[in-house]
Amino acid sequence: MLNNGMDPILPSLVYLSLFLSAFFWLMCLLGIAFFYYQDYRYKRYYAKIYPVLRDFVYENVLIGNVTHHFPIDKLDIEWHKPIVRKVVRRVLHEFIFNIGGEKGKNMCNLFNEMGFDREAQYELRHPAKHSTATIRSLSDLTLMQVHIKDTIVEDLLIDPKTDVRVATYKYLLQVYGEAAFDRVFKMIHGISELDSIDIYQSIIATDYVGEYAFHQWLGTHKTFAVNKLFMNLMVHFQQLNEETLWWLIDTSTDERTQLKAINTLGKLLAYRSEARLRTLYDECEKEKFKIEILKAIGRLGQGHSLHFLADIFEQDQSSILLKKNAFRSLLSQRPYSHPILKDMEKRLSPEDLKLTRYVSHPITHYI
Amino acid sequence: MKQFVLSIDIFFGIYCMLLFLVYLMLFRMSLLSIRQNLQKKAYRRPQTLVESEISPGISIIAPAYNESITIVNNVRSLMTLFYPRYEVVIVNDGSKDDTLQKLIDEFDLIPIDFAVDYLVPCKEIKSIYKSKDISHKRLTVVDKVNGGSKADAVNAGINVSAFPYILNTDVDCVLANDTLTRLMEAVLDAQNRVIAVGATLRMSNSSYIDSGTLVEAALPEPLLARFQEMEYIRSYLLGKMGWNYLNCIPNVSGGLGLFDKEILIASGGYDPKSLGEDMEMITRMCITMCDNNQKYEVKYIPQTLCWTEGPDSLRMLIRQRVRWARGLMQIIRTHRKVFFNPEYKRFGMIVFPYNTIFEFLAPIVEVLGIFIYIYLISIGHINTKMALLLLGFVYVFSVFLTSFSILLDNYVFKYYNRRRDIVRLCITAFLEPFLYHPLIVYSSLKGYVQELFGKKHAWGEMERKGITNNRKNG
Repeated sequence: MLNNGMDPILPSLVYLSLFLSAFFWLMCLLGIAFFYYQDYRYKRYYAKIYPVLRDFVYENVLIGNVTHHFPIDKLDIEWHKPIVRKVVRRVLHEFIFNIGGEKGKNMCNLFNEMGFDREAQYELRHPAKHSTATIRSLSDLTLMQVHIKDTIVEDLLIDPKTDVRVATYKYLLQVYGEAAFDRVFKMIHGISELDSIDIYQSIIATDYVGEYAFHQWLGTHKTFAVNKLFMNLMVHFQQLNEETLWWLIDTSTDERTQLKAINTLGKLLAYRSEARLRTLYDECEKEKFKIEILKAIGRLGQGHSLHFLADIFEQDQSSILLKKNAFRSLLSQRPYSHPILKDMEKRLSPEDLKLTRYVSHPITHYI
Repeated sequence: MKQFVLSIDIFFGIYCMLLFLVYLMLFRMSLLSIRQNLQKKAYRRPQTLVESEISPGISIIAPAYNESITIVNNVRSLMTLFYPRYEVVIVNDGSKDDTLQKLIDEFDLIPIDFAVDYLVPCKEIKSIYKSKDISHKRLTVVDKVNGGSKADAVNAGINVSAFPYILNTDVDCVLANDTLTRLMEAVLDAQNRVIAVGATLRMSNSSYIDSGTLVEAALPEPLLARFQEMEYIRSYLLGKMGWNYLNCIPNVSGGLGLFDKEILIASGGYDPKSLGEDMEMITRMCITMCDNNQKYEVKYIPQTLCWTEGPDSLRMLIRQRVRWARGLMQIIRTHRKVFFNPEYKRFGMIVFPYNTIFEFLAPIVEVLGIFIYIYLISIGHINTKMALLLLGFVYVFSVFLTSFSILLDNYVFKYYNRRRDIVRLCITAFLEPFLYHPLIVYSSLKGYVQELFGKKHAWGEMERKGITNNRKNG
């Protein structure tokens, strides 16, 4: 910027930077216009296709009860255009999820007959660079309950991308049900908590009723998300296995896994664990463990820990959170805890009485 | 003399080069970060969390101070979010108007006996109200002594809350229906512990809002609010999303942020004395995680989930920015031990130094640069052509960055239905460096001076216009 001694290369650099900034600015404007056009085009097709498809579905699926061989050729839609197929796919997905039940299954057949299964299978055989198309195809095939070649599934199960693997797990679980449990659970790794919930929901959605032992897949070397999935499944299918859960509590190095195992013991009403939970309470130093143990004891409801809970509630050094949970657990063990509650009432301080009124107030609890 | 001028020239040159490099890096990383997010969004079913009985619970905490005009609609809006397990904790921070009475009347509230563990410090909680009506079972209203700051009210809400995650928002903010789902997805979809998540905020000033729910987003009509909207878009989509890629987010906005309650409490809760309480909180949470040698993430998502009423008068805007500047200065002073301290990993080596060098010092360097520029002109030590060329480049570059943010915004979602809104936003990018930016620099410097001389900050009260229906004809 100075008058003299300036390197002659500097002005050229500034000119170049100025030109590039102006060029990229123009590109941005074009980009904005492109996104606007793309959106406008999608909306235009959506407005055109939605009513046609809606009438078709009403006429054939909802009123006509057609299950197979839908008169697709009567649909006045330009199938060859990718944007049309994109819109049709989205509209049908919307319908399938909103309608559900038997009619929803018939809609899946319609989806299949429209040629989406061939398209999805092709996508899987020739995977694109990014995973979105593969995952979309797997989700479509899951919806249509279409079986795909085993070699392709094997490749997908060892895909380095977690999202692809999760979509494959979901596909196998929803299409093959219990028959795929061993195969999926053996391979499952690297998932996030959200994936864990997603896989859990996929299994629940199949209305599976069986006696598959989910606890066999728990492990101290596995991540919290994986262990959480199996513990949630154990709770949902009411499969108690105290030894495995205690093994996790004793040997796991992950706090969240240990807390979840304690929580699972309570939810599965592991009544043989009550004494052991009390011992664990005395051994634990962290308050979050103590709270989880108190909750679990409250759920067990055997009436064997009433004095233990009452002592915690009456101890001056207990924090309000501990007191709250101890009293809540006492309340949940009624009628066993009635005499002890009556007895406690007489000797409680005004502050503690206030706490008991807060915990036992009917409108405080809704969670 | 010539040597002195040359060294100053080199200093400013290096500073500007570094800043441009940071911007170019953010340009690339924000694009990658947003693309990643959109790819995930494309194949994730948002219903998964909504339908699941094992979704983690969230406590929404919204402090209210003299919000009588809007409180009922805003609380209704908060209670209609799509999520299976959440509660709404409204903290009446000693309002002087009838905010509390309106809530009592509208939601059939009664005081209940309560016992609160003051896990984080706050002023005395006077009473807690719950509704007799089962349809308002999610609602808890806390009435407390005024603590003089939002931080104190949020701390009270944290003490009362029941769930492991806290959503901190303002009661006047309008949230999108899927706010909790989107934020929780970001928390759960990570390999490390996510201690905080934020999302983009926008101005609600001219949007059409019916009964506390956003019906149609529109670009604010007043120029000042429009500048702020543009600034928000740039700051969130270019800045925060860029840093998100490196897990180096310096701040989660006080308008909308989801926090891990355990870490929030372990870090001591919000600091009522801080003027930048949201940034200060994140700083302390990151320090706590580093001190305990735990891996963590602070995340941002590009979708706009919150619309807030921005200051539409110059006085209010300056006051707000003065507060932010003072808050930043306080944080840098209080946590100076973190500066280039390798013990604090990325936070100490990237986030904190960036905040100090390019956020805190930028207004000072800018003003100094202008003075030196004028001085050099006066003594004739300047190459006018080159100076004008550089000025032109900086101007075009800034317009380009803003336009790029608008492009990213359209890539994420097309929020404005009217085409003229986007055209006006693009035009505003040309005006901003002349009209809006000097205001921000002035406010920052004013804030620094006030903080240096220890002037007491006056919070002031923002006049609520009631965003029940802002739609303009046409």
